[in-house]
Amino acid sequence: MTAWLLTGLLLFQGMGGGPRAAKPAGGPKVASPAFYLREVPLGLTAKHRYGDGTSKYILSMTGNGVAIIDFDNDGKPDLLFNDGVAPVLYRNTGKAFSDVSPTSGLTPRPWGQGVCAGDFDNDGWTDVLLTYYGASRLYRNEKGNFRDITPAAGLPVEGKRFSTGCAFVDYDRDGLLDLIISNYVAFDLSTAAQPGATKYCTWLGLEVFCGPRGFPTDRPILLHNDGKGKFRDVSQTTLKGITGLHYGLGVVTADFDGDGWMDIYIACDSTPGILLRNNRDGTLTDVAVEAGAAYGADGEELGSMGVAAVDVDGDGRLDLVKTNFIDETPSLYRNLGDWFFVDATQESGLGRDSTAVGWGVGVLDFDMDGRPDLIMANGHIYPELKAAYRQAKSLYWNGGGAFSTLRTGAATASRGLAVADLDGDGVAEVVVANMNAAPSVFKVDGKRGGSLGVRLEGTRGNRSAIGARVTVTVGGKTQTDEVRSGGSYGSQHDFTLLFGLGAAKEAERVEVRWPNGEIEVMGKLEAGALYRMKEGAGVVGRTAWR
Amino acid sequence: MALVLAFLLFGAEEWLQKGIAALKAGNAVEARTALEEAVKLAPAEPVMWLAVADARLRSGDAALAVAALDRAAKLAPASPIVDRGRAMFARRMGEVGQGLLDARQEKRAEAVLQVAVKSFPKEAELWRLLGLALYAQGRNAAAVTAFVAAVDLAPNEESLYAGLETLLPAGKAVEARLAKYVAAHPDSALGWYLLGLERGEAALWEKAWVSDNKFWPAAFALHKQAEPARAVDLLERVVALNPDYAPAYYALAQLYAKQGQREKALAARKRHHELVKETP
Repeated sequence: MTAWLLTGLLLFQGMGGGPRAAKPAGGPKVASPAFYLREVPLGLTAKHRYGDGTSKYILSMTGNGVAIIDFDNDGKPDLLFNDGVAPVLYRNTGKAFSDVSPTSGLTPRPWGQGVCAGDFDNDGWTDVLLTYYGASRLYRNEKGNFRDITPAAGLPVEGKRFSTGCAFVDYDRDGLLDLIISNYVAFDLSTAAQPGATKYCTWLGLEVFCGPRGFPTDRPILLHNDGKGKFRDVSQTTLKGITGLHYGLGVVTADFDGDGWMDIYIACDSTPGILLRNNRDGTLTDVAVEAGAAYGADGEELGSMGVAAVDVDGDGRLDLVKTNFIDETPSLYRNLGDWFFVDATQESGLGRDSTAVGWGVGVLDFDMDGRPDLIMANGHIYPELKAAYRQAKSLYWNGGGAFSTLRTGAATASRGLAVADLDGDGVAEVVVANMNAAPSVFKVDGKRGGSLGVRLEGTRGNRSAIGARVTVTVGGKTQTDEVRSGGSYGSQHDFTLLFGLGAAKEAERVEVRWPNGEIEVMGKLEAGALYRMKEGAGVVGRTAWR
Repeated sequence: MALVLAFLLFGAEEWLQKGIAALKAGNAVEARTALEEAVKLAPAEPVMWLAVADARLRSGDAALAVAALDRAAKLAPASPIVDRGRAMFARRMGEVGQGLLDARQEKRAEAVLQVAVKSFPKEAELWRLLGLALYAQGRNAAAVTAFVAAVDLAPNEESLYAGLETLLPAGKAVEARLAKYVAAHPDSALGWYLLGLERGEAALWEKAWVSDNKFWPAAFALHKQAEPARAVDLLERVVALNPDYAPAYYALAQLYAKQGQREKALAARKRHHELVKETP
């Protein structure tokens, strides 16, 4: 019922137990402008398939991610969904989406999980990794056609690894994108226990799939790109301090200490989170415990799924937002600098809603006021709950000091979520992958200010410019974001960054720090357009918003 | 005639067995169908009515379940089986109510528990659960009334007071009961904590003095209510008394962090992690 009862259980063991009614909301209340989540029909009709609609195995729970990438380089973001049976690729025609999966080169494969993107061979075409229960598949983009190069890249083509989140990241700054992949549980379908078989196979009296507790844990994998088409597993020598006691899900990469070297966070289910600090010597060390980003606000292990890196308070440091299980709330770890975070969930207003099972999370500025807002995809894990299985989305509007919350949109059992300006109007749409249903695309309607977009192309570093940091100054206040692969829950946001300018007609200064650390200042840029910038060449193109 | 009666009773027994098997298998609907048939065939058997009462309750029909229970009692007013059945039935109503609360079906929980407290008005646990069902619907005044009824039935049962926590302050009637409880149980951390909440006197929390985690409830409350200096003081005393109590370290780490004492926060985070890390 309350924190007292949850954390003070030790006092009352054997006394009949505390009450178990819904936990009341906490945190400040912030009045927000009116926002409306409007679903837009864009031709995404393929019903995703994942599991058989029962909770027999934990494998049926995790569902799929979505990537927003411009796979054909026509300037319009396309959609790639991983799936329980076969990936689905939608081409953006400008007015709607057209299913081009049969000719895409992507092959049907069961138990698809996450997806992430990056131009690993620097040929100007965005490649993708699809994670699976089994063996993940690396697809090279050959001028708009995907080719499975998993064996040629030296990656395993079979196995029983339950891989989930992933991201391309140039952790050693050699100009080539490497790969981080999180792994969930050590799971074998042929020997998995049946619902109700052990204490880990029930939930509130229901017999449900077993896990994650009770299953052996697994570790993340780091694959180094040798620049000759091969990836080599360097996890053992490169990832330090990981205890091996993790059930890994969502992955996000970000430069948390502002040193120009990419760090990594992995959201973990029912176990402490992993925060990999880049040691700038080709290794990364898990510092989540010391940094204060491993546990929940009361020191509890959270059921974390999705994750985002976002500068919520405009101090130039990237904070961490996580989505968590029901009876928990989303988490905000505020970055105080020098590898020191503090749990700010309650005071930020993110601690007000504990009724959702959160998955994908996207950062977008609903009203383009220059403060990043949040959207989260929700959905329970047990289909047997019927109506309660499907849950509305969570919107968090950033009021400066704290967030206000709004639960809205049709109730669905959602998993992956990604954001992008799909129609070139300067406002981000939200794409959501739903379990055993067609995906959804939403617009957030409401009053808003102006915006500008930034699309980067690397020349000396990786061509996707993953790891580049963009700082935009408007009215003396700065906004910081980075181009990144992965994020959310098993998903990939568009590489284009959007910045809200409010009533300002221009940004006073736009600065890009490229992945190799070099800084380029673009100077003033007017609102109302997407700017294409090339490393070393400044702004090379401008497209006004539609 | 005797032959026909035997046939009917044999049929009832079969239905009864089928119904009980379905109850054991958790299939309330099938159980109810079978047991309603059984009771039709043997309406003078109190056991049949007890079983059908259970099936009706599990299938969500509390009022008809109580009617069946009453019928059993009327048929065998002095039967120890019926008495035991009534006691078990009261517990079962509580379990059903709690199950509905767990499933977040608060209105259905309330419906069952309203019938339960009417049928068993002296069962404190049923009043407590009713209080929870009302609280979960935001009906705080009614929830307080239910919790007070529970407390009055078993004034020495500490756990019954816990439901009041987020409803305080709730007025003189509640304050009087809490004061009486701590007077009788001066070592009750919960009692002092609740009385402190009721009166708005944080100083009362420091009277909490039980178990190995002395001060913990008070310290935690202070932490949550943003009184960092006092909370740190108490939490440091908690960990001095019980160096293995993990939650206190994390609360301390949070407070140190917010006070800018990074080294202390770091040490507390590490100690917490050492204490809680385990193979999942």
